[in-house]
Amino acid sequence: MVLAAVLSMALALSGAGAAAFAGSAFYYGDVNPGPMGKIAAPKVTAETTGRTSVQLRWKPVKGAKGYVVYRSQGLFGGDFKKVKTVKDGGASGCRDTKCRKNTDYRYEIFAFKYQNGKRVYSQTASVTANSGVVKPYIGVYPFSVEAMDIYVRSTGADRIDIYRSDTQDGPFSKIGEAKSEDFSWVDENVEFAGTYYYKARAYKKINGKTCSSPWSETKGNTVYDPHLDISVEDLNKADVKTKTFLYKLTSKAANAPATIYRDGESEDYGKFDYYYDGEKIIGGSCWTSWVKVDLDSYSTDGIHYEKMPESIPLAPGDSVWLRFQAEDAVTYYNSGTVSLDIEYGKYRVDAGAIRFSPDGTSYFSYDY
Amino acid sequence: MKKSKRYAAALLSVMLAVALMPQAALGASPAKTKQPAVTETLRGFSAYTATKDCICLHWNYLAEADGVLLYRADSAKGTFKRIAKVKADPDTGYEYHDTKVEPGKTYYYKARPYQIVKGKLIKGKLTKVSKKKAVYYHAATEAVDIQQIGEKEVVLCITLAGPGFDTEMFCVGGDAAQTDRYEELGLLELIQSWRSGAALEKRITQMQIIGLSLDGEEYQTQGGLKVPAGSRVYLKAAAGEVLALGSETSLDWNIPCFYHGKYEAISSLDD
Repeated sequence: MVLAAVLSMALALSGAGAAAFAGSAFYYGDVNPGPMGKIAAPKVTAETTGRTSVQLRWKPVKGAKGYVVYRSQGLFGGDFKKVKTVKDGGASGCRDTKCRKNTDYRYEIFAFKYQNGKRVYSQTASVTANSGVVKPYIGVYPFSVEAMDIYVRSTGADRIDIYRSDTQDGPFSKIGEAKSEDFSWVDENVEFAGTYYYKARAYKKINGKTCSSPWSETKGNTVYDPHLDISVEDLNKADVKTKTFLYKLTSKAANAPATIYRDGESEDYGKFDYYYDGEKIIGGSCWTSWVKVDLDSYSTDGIHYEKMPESIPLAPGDSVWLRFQAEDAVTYYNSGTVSLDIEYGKYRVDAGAIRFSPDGTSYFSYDY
Repeated sequence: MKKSKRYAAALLSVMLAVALMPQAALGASPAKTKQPAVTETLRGFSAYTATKDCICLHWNYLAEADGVLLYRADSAKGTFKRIAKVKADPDTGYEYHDTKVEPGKTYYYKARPYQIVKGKLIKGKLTKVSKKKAVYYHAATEAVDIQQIGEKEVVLCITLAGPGFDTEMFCVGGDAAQTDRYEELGLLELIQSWRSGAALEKRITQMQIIGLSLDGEEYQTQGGLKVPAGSRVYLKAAAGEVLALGSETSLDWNIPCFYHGKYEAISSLDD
């Protein structure tokens, strides 16, 4: 026994075996426990066993001398930390008892063995789990002019109850229950232009006992048409050089209040510049012009213009005149786009655009 | 008691001596079971494309290797000399451009992965030979001159790059089967651009190729014309609308064609 221990220490010190696998190796996920060897990854399942504990189970891997378990908070991995080393190849699982209450986790589990005295690892087995019952996420979105869409999610939950109130502080009453961990509930018992508040609570059986989650955040919204409908009038003269671009935008009455921004910014693309991009096709020739523009000024009556501030509101049914300015002149073609960022309801949309065409069907679109 | 302590001390010193001995001296399993540093060969190794002064080599990335050694010879059975050592990199470590080539000459390549083990370079298995000629494998041009010869007509004088393969161009009245399959054959795209500060205007004109000539005098108005690499071709094209060349800040063109049996395009935009 002593000899074996001394030998293995000496082998490790002399570096034998390490040489064979010293090259670069790549693992799935974000965890790199060490050199990879020829050993199968375990197949892992996970189960909630308490408010602060998770049981991981796997079938022992042939030839394994043990397993290492890494954990990251959240479902998508990231900052993984080693939470367990199981030095028994025949083990069929382990329990993580040091979880935070009601929390999502991602685990990465590797089997290991020793090769020429050096520990080598399998590829990863990845599994998600949660301790306790996770606080539900709730999203509230207008679904139509007479319905609201409530999205709830609590991973691992058996049931999520949805509550509604006319005011932010309540009282709330239960309006429905979703029998899954992820659900969209359409609330049709609402009125156009009414504002409603929602919250949710999830339930799950743990060790035969039904446990509840903490309350979700309270989120509210106003019932309006979720499809922003803005018609556009192109007020520019085609085929002449210009540095100024003028459009009249009218928001439909069923819309929610919108906000027009002087500078473009979207979740997907970050900050973006506004551009005029026009074209004209004559026979086999395509003429195009393109120039960066600034949203310089706006008017609410089409006569008096004011310098564009950071943003202006556009109420349902109202019109606004927008004047864009370029540094250099281009030929104006009345088929094309001018980029524009509009926030609708409570959500700022991705890079949008005014789309115009000579047939008069001009409108604002979310896609540039 | 004293005897047994002495015995234990002797046993421990033997154990330590054995433990600290080099692996080879042990004569035991580690030396015999030692695995090669790089267990896999390179897959997908080939000299896949070339120009007159560059041959591009490519292989599939091999995670277990620290890099790749490349060898070249003038014949398949010639002496392969090492020309490069390319470090492994998931982004760039699977391609090499051999620029020390003579136009028109054929080269033979082999490759092997390597790994650095305790500061020593351990070589993996050699690949099979891949050969390539230093000629253009894609249609390319040396020089182009564009003249407007009428309100709606232009002539392009194109000197094709070489050495390489024939470039086949087509007139609009060309081979019906081929023009059906490749609708753009027989057409020339002329791109005039006007840039002024931050503003950019363009006119893209589709023109029909109405004549092809090798000498600029006698034009064929039907079918295809095979033009050898390195030679000159004159191409007459007509637009549907009036052209006004000369005021633009840049003039580009694009001509679909066949090169080395493949549908391609020669274009100023590739430069």
